[in-house]
Amino acid sequence: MKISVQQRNVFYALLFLAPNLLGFLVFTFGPIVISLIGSFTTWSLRPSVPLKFIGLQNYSDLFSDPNFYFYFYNTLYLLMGLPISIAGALFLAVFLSQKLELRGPRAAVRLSLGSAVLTAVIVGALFVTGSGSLAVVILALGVITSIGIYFGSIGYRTFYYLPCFTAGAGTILLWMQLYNPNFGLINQVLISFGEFCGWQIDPPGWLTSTKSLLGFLPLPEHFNNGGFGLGAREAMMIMGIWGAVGGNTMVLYLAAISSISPELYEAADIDGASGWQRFCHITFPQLAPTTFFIVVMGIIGGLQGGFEQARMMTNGGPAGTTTTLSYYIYTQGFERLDLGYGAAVSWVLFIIIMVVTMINWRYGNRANTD
Amino acid sequence: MNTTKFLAVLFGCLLLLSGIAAIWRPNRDLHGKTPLVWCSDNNPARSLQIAAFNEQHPDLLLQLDYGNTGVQKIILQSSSGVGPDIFDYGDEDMGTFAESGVLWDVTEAAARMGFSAQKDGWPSGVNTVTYQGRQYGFPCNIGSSILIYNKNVFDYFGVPYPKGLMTWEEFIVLARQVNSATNPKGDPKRHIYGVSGSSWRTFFSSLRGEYFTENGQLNISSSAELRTAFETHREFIFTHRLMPTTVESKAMSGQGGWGAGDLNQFANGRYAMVMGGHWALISFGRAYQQQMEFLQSQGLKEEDIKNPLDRPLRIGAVLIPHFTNHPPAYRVNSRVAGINLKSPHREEALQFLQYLAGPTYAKLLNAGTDWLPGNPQHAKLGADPGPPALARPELQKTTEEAMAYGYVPRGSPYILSGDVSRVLLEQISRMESNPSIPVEALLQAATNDLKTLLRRNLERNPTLKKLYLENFGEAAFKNL
Amino acid sequence: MEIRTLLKHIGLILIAIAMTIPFLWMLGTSIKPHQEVEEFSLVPRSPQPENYAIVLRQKPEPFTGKFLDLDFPKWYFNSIFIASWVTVLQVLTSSLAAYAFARLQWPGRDKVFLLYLGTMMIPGMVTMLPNYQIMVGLQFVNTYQGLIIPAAFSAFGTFLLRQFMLGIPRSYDEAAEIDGATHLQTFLDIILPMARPGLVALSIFTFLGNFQSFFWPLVMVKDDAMRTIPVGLLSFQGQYGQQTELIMAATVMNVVPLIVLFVVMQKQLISGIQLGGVKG
Repeated sequence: MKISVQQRNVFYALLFLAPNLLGFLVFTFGPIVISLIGSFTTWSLRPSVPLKFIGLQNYSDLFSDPNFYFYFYNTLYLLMGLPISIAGALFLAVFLSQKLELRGPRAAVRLSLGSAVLTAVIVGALFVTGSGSLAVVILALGVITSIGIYFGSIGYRTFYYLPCFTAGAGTILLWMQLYNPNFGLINQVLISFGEFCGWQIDPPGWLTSTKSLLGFLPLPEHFNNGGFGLGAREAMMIMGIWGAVGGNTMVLYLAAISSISPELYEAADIDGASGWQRFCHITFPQLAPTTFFIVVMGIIGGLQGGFEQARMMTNGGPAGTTTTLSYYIYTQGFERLDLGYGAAVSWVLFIIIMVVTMINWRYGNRANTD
Repeated sequence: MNTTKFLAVLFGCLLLLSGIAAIWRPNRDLHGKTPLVWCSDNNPARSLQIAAFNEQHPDLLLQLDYGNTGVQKIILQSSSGVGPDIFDYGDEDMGTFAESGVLWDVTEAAARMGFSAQKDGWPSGVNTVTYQGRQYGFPCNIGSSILIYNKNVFDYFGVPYPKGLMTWEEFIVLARQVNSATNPKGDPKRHIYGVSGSSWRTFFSSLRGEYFTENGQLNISSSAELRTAFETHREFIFTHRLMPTTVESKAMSGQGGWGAGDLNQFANGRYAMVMGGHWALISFGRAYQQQMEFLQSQGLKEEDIKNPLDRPLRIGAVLIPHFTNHPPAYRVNSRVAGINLKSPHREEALQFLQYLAGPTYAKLLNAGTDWLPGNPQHAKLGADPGPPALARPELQKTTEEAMAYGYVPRGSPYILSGDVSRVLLEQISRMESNPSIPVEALLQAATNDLKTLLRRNLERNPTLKKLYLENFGEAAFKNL
Repeated sequence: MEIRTLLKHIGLILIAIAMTIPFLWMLGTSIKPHQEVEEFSLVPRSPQPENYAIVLRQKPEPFTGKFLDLDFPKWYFNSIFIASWVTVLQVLTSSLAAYAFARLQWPGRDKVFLLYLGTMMIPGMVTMLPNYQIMVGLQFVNTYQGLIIPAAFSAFGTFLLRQFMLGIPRSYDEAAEIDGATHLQTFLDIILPMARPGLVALSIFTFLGNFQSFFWPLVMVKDDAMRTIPVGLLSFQGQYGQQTELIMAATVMNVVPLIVLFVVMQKQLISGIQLGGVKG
């Protein structure tokens, strides 16, 4: 009996897919369907609320709640940092993939050693004079220089990935200290810098301020006066960019760049292309599938993000400016125990994400599939 | 290396790790006793309290679990049957816990075994352990806030210590004198705030404010007390600059714990006064010890220090002020221990609640400088005076006085107090970011949000809706 | 040419410093005594390196005089154990599925793939509860299985590897087909090695992501012995509030082997294409 090529393909496809598909159905798809159904009911953690089908009521409630639109605005706002992160990561990856050796290994060793000795001397001097913090910074500078020059790309990459290693409670605590409006490092540096240049700088309020770069809050009447400045949302964005620029995106790009066939570059060199032209005509187009992936994941992740930061740093404040939709889902579902409503908000968020991704997909995927 | 070989090696390593995991298990020897898990915080006195309980009840083994606290986590685990047997909660959360069905109603057992809220507890604190007339636990500790002042800061500004009960007007005058922003004598590098821990809640309680009417209706936008509370809060921050905003104070100290951040700041002379419970002595005691140790390591004595701000902590306490023409009123707060409804050992756990009402526990609690024990009869047992600089007896006496004026705001069957708290906090947050917003607008926004939540509650719960309609009629319901 | 390289180095160094300074703060705080934690300095005035010993339960805490009740070494093992299993399982199942999506033609392929993609767009929090109920039903709560199995399947991994596989030229597949290889052989001997950078990247992400995963273990784990590090760090709530210095010490100990792992994996990121394959 002859099995058609088509059928054979399907068989193999199922075989390959099977383990993944099984887990997918049980742990991903199943719960999703349950939550979808739940969003049409009175699903709640309170036993006193009977489970009843109420149709679209959760949805109509949430659309008539003005807070929902505000939180949606907050969520979109945080996405503004995404292009910066991606561009930064790409830039770093390209930089790190280039040749970084200096005139043979002996020179590298000499330079590393030299910088190490110099650092030790400066550090020693500073310790003696008692400025511990400055000494540590100089020491770090020396260590980075030595490692960077000796190990090249791998060394630098590890330093850039540090924020990702230490993600979680530690990083968040750290940034809370940095953003302290009176004593935090960032404002102190800004003030010192201002004094140095002779300006009187009024340091931004960061996590305590409702100001934003767009200067307004989409709220009725009295509550819409945010003002222009650097507030909590900018603080979160900067923190996000810092964490993302040397992180997974950069690693992905590094991996993808290393997969580009060197023959393409050799051909370009023969034609006498400059660095910028190499980037525009070879590197960037070759990275298209990866960029597509990164942008799609970035948007999906970004629209769902802001939860950890909101919970640990600001509790959604000040005045609700850092409450993103995912944090809203948490407070509604887990603090108010109203799971049906939380599920409804999740599904609305899902539709938003899906629409955006669909748009992305139509433009990006054309270049990809066979 | 061949792919297949690589995979084989990989799995081999994983299996090895799994083997280690199977062997490395903790030793759980119960010696035939019934285990009871108590989910609470890592208070230093806990181990002593638990040891004493285990001694009195040789057939039970009580153990502390301080890693699983958190309202959501407890509810989630308990409703799936894997929660702790006994857990602590702040009395504001009782509504949430009771509604989610994880608390066991112990009213009859309490009367029988001697930990009844009405008979064996503080009269002003009955409502901290009861919800809609039923009792759901017994306090681990209970108390009212008092005004604690830092003598060193007062010495620094040359201001006499506060005495007795003041009015808020007198308080403002006093506080302005010990506040860097309003008293130029202060050192600009060492900014001192007049007071910490006073907020709209303090002022609201001071007026004996209620969030709900007697039959459970919302009392927000029409509440004169709430209005005064908000306005006074705004005054304290922006007019007199006596205290930082909520976000600022959170930013001043990233640490959590029992408000330890602000308390540490107080102990270091950053606040002249603090309004809190005398459980703050736990933090103060530690700070004091460190400061004394530091002195000793430098070979100095207290009298040698010129600047009062550098001296080790010295404190005193008086009652929190009251509004003119109003008697003093303070909110009673408590940390309540409740029993998990689904616990297989809940009958045994009752003995723990009984223990909380007993003399042994009260003695240990007082020795540990935590708040007052739940049973007023034993309130004075075992209180150790401690270093004179920390004035423990004064703090304890003042707290007992405050309890006489204490009250617990009533709740409502139609909406959780937690929701009201959260919505009001949002409005405060808005006000602190933008003080020009009129208070009426804030209260109106709060009322709107709460009405939406109320309506949602009623629509989801038919029994509740019936009750509401019976009490208030169709028109009120439509108005939501 | 020399100057340009030097300039590149300088630029990279400056960026590296910006990334590293926060980490320096963490290092500094990890040896501070408790009362200095809130001071905004990089270096403690009276360093207390015993913090590391305290976390490892070799020395008692300075104020209570008691040893920590928390089993940090066990958490460490748990985190590594769980993350290892999850990484291996995820990479395997995802690469198998990615092959099906990238290389095989079958009806409905793209639609199913979009379904996969769609599931990533649901905020994870909302599926957490039904998942939890399933775990309760299977009695997987507070067990290793409960922490490993739900995390072993990932649409993210499938998507990532699919993109990588799409970038591998078809010429290799065709050559293998001519030689009579089955799909499985093509998969194991050609595609997987070629996609190595992608696999390594995914392994790094998965391992690190799972190592730091917080919400799911928080809900699933009850006993101290089963905790993973992120959840465990929460419990450093001492009597004086959060013991930030211990948290930092734990985090630093956490990070060092991860750094080593990362450095070792870097070599593997270089593509197989450059190391061999079909010529011409």
